[in-house]
Amino acid sequence: MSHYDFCRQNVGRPVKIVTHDGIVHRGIIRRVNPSKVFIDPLDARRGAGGYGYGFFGYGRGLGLGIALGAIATIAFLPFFFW
Amino acid sequence: MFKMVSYQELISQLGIDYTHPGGKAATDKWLKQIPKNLKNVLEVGCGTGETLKQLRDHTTAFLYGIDNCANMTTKAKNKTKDLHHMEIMQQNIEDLSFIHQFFDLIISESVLAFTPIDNSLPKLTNLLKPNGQIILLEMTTSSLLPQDKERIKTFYQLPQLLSKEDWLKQLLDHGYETVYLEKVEKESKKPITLPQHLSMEMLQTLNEHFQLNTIYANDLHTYLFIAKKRGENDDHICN
Amino acid sequence: MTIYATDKWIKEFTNKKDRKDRKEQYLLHQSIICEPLTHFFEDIHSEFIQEHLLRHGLFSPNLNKEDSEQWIQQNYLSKVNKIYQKCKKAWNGPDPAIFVFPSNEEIRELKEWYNSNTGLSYPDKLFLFLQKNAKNREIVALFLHEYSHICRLNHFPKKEMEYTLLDAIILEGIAEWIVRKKIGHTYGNKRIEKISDELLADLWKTWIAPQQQMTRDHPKHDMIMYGFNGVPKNVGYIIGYNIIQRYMTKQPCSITTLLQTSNQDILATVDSLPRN
Repeated sequence: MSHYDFCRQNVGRPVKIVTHDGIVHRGIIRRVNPSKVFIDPLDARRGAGGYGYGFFGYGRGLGLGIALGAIATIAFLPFFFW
Repeated sequence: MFKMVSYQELISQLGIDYTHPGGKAATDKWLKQIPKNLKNVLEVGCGTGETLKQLRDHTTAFLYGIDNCANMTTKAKNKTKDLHHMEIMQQNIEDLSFIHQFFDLIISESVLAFTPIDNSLPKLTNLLKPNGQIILLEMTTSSLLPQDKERIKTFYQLPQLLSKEDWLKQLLDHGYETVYLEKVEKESKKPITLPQHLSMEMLQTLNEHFQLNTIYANDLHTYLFIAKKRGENDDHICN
Repeated sequence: MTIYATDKWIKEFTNKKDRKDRKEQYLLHQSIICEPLTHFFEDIHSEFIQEHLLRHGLFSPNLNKEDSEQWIQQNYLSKVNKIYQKCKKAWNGPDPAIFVFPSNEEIRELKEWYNSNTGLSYPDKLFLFLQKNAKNREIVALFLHEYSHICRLNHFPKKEMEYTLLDAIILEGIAEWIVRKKIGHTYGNKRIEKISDELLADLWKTWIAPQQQMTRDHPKHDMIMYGFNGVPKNVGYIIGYNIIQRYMTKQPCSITTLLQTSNQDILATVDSLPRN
């Protein structure tokens, strides 16, 4: 199945996406078009902290969307409620 | 400007099925084990009514469901409107208006842990017939530092955070015997689907929930407890 | 010696990654590059350190041997050491653990806005992620930025998660001001520019004033610093830079003094911020 089809069929589901550049994105699939998928990000570990130079890969999932062509792997994120 | 949504508000706003650990698989685990010939069954915190719907296929008993959230009871009523012998009410455990020893079976899927158990468990026990059963699917913890415990309790607004042993002791102290217990997988196999529109505030709470469960993945567990209330005459048996 | 011999780790990684599949390369990156770093983080698994650093621009498991060799030939470790010794002396600064790694040159945003050089600093440690053709001035600019954080964090010590949004914007503002002052206006974060008093007051009111004391573990903290989900890009950095720029115009002082000036003293001096 193409990433496009997978994303279309799983709107609303929490996923873990790893892009070819090695960055991990976690979030809920919101919408998808033929070139990009948009997610509401879920951040597993903000606790690692630090002060950076202004660049942070976190925002790409939402603001710009993730290019489908940049996706290496996509999988469901284990999730549950108490 | 940045209002917080509590975890309970989030769950109620999401309004999705199986908002308990283990999802449907966890419900199936105890469903198969319920006794025959039940007359009255109560589910506390029935949510959208999904468990009651499942239960309908397993027993002829009259099923009662309560939830303290109107949004949930509306959904549950809607879902079960075609099913017989079913009543859903918006109520708190503290205000339950049933007669003493009315139920053969009481179910709580991750509900009791969110209530002050010193009040809620005796209340439910009182409604249960002698030899009646209580089924609990609840959050347990193991060896957490006090500050970590506090963090979890604050976020989920838990009056207490109990270990497996604490739960067991609570049940035994409140007149239960023959407690069956089993560790249950928290994450459900089937991927969950969340509603289309989540506000920033809901996302933030969802995020916090996800983060806490990543950090404490090995410290928070789910146990299924099936306990039988002692029979009427058992109190007099001395050995 | 506070600069770790990361060139050896990088060599080990690129030597071993040959003929491995993507998943194995990922795990190798985790064990060779990130596992040694776990000693510098409190109770954080190497998997999360890897993920965190990757998001901040650390080279990915895709790094190939040719690029890594070219990177190593640049002798960045000794260049950074020279800069560090000078800075430490000039500012009478602390002694962090320093890790220099290649950056991820595949990330378009990082290339476009930061020329593929970035970093991350903590009170006790500093990461620099440099591209294989980083110019000396770029390295100095980045180092000054990050090291200024370490100086200020150590002067106003707190538990990391207790630092607030206000702490962060002043911290970043000082860092960017120093870079422009010492290296030049074309260096540093290219999104940061001087804005009008009106716009500064406006951004301050919208993004900072209502939640100055929000701690950094709050999800909105990073949202405001970096800017996403409707928040303008790097808005926290831009506000911070403009505050310091105005402060230093009105009350010029040495960098060492600036690094030790409290948030409140800075804010009280800047006229263009609306008083609450």
